[in-house]
Amino acid sequence: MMSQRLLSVENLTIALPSAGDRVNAVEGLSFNLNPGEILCIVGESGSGKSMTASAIMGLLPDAGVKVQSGRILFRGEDLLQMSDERFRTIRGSRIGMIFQEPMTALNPVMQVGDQIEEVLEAHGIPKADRPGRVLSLLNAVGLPEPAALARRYPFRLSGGQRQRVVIAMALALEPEILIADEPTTALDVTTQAQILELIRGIQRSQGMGVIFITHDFGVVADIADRVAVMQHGRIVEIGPAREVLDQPADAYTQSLIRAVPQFREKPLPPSPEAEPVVRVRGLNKTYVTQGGFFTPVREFKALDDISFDIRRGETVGLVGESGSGKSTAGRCLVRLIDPNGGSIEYKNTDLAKLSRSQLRPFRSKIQIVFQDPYASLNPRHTVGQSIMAGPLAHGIDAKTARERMNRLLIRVGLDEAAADRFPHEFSGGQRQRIGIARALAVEPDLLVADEAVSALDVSVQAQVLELLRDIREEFQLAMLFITHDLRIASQLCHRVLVLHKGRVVESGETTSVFRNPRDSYTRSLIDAVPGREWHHSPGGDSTTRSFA
Amino acid sequence: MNSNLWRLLKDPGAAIGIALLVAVVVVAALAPVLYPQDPWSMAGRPFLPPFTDPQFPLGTDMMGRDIAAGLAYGARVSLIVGIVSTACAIVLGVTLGGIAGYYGGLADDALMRVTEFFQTIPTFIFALVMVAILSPSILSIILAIGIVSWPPVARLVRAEFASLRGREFVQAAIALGESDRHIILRQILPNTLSPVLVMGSLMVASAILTEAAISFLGLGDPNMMSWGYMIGASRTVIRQAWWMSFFPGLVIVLVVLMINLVGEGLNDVLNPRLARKGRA
Repeated sequence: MMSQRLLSVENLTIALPSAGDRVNAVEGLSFNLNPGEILCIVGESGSGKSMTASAIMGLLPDAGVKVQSGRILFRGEDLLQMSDERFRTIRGSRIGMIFQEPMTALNPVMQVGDQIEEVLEAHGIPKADRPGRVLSLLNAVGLPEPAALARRYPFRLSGGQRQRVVIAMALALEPEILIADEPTTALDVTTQAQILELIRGIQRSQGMGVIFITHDFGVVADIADRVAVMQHGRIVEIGPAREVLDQPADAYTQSLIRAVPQFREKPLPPSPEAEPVVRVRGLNKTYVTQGGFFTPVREFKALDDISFDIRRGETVGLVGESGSGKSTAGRCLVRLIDPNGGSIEYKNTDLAKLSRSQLRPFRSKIQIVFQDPYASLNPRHTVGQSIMAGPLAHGIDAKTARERMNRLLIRVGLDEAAADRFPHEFSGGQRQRIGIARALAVEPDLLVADEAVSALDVSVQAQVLELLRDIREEFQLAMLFITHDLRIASQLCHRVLVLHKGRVVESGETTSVFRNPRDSYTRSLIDAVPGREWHHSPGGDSTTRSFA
Repeated sequence: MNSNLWRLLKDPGAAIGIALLVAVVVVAALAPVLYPQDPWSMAGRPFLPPFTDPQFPLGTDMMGRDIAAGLAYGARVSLIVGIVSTACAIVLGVTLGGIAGYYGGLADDALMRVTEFFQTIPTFIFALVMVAILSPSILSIILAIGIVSWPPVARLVRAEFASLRGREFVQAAIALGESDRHIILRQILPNTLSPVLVMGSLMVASAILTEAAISFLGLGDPNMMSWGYMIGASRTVIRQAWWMSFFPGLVIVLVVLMINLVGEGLNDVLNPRLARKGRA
C-alpha cells in the first residue's frame, strides 16, 4: 500500500517567525496523494495552504519559517531530509509547480521558448532534442503557432497564454506530481475554465497526481477528486469531493460552503421610484497613446456608447472580464477619468461637461468604494481622519463631521474606538467597511462599488455584501456594482449590463439575463462560472439561500 | 515616530553616528565659550606640533593660530552650510517635484526639462562659478550648494507623487472633492517623506564636502574659519606641519561618515522592506 502513494505528508508542523500572530503556519498536517488523483486544498487567506505547497517544493521563505517536525515522503523518500543536490533532481523533473501570477513566474527579458529550454537543460536533456520538445510542449498546452510563440517575450502574451507557458514548463519533464498554487485566481472566468480543463486533461492523459490549491469552492467542484479543507494551519476535513461538498461534516466547512455566492433564482423586487438618480447617455472613452516620430498614434476604445439609468434604491450591475471597460465606466461616473463624449445627467446637470472646479460641489453626490482594501486608505491617516476628510472638505463643521463619523463606524459594524487607529491595524474586511463608511460620510445619492468585495475571502465577502445590501435599503442608495463575478452580481443587482470590449452586449433584469442569455458572450461567461453543475443541499430551497 | 527613533538608536552604527554628531553640534555651539579668542588671532608660537603644549593640544599653524579653535569654529560653518543648503534644496525639490508629479502633463514636462537642464551642468563647477559671481560669503555658498543639489530631490519626489497619485486612497480623496492643495499636502506628502528624509541626511554630508572643497580652493567666506580653508591654507607646508591639514581632514571624514551611518540607519528604519541585506 505504501508504494502506491505518490506523496504522503505526515504530521507536518511549520513554525512561523516569533513576530507572527500565530505560532505555527501549519500544524500536525497529514495527507496522502495517490497517482492519478486531483487533491484540492481549500482554505481562506492565512490558512496555511500555500505554505504547505512551498514546504513540499522546498521553497519555504528563509526568514524564520522552519519545519518543526514531520515528514514529506515522495515515493517513500523523505524530501525534508534529502540533500540539496538530490532534491534538485526531483524538483522540476518529478514534481512540477505552477504559480498564481503567470507574469511574475516568467522571466520578463527572456523568450518563452528559451525559458522552457532552460528547464530541459537543467535536467540534462541533450541540446539537439530541446527545440523539438519545446514545440511539442507548447502544442500540448494548446497554444497556437508554437514556433512563433516560442520566440516571443512574456509581455506579449495574454494572461491565459502566460499561464499555459508556465504549465508547459512545469510539465516539461513529465512530472509525477504537479502542484498548482491558485493557478487561475489571476485569470478571467472564461480563461480559468480553459486552464482548468487543460490541467484536468493533461492529468488524465499522464496519470499525474495533482495538488491544487484554491480558495474557490466552485473550482473545487469542477476539478477535485478529493478535498482537504484547511483552517488556521490545520486540516479540518478531508474526503472525496462529492462528500465534502454535499455533506460537509465540519462546521467551518459548512460555513464556507454556505458563504459561496450562488445564482439567484427569483428577481429582486424592483425599486418603486421611476425617476432615475443618474442618467448616463452615450458615454465614450478612447485612450490615445502618443505616437513618436516612427510609431503611429494608437487608439483604444475603452468605452463605446454606454447608456444606462440608475434609480433610487436600485443596484445596477456592470459585469465583464478584465479589459471590458467596466472599471473605466465606474471611474468616468465619479469623474476620476474624463470621458470623451456622452452625458452623465444628475438632477438636470450634465456632470460630464463640468470643469473640475464646477464639479466640486457635486463630488459628494457620487461616491466610490475601491477593490483593494489595502491601497484605498491612506496608511498615515487614522481611520477617523480618513472618514472625516470628505465632510470637512465640503464645509461641514468638525463637530457634525465627528458625530457623523462615529455613527457611520457603528453602522458599518466597527466601534467608535476605531477612529483613532491606523488602517494597518485592521483586517481586509474591516478596511473595506471603513472605505464604505468614508464614502457614506458625504451622504451620496449614488455609490459606485468597483470590485468592492473581490479581494476578500468568501466568508468576509458575504458579510460585506450583506452590509452593502443593508445600507442600500436604509439610505435608499442607488448603486453601480462593478464585478467580474456573475454570482455576486446576481445576488445583489436588480439589473445587469454585460460589457464586452467597451460595449454593452446585453442588459436587463438580472435573473432573466443570467437564465436566458441572448448574447453568445454572456452565455460563454455564464458557462465558465466555476462549479455550475454543483447543486449542494439538493432538497433545500436554493432560491432564498443568502449570506446570513 | 517615537518608536522609529527608538529603533534608530538600537542600530549601533546610527547610535554612534548620532552620539558623535551631537558632540560636534555641542562643540560648535559652545565654540565662543571654549575658545573665547578669535580663531584667526595669533595665540601662540607658529608651527607648534600637536600634543606638546597642553594649551594647544592640536598644535598651531604657520601664523600661530590654534588648530583646535579653528576646528571648533569650522564646525559651525560646516553644519550651517550642510543643514541650511540641504533644507533649501529639499524645499525647492519637493515643491517642484510634487507639482510635476501631481499634475503631470505640461507642468511635468516643463519642470522636468528645467530639472534636466540643471542636472546636465557639472554640479561642483556650477557651484564654484556661482560663488565666484556672487562674491564669496557663507550666504552665497549656501545658495550655490542648495541650487545645485535640488534636482535629485525633485526627481525622487516626482516619481513618488506620480505613483501615489494613482493609488486608490488618493483617488478616493479626489472623488470626495478634497482640494488639490489638501491632497498634495495632507494625503500624498506625508507618504513621500521617508525617502526624502533619508536622501536629505546624505545630502547634508555631501554639502559639507562641497563647502570644504570650495573653501579649499580659496572661495570660502573670508570672515569665517572653515575646515576646507584650513586644509587649503596648509597644503603648501604639508611636509613640515602635517597636523595642520590632518586634523581638519580627519574631522571632515568622521562627520561625513557619521552622517552616512545615521542616514543608512534612517533608511533601514523608515523603509523596513528595503533594509540592507543580512539583517533579516
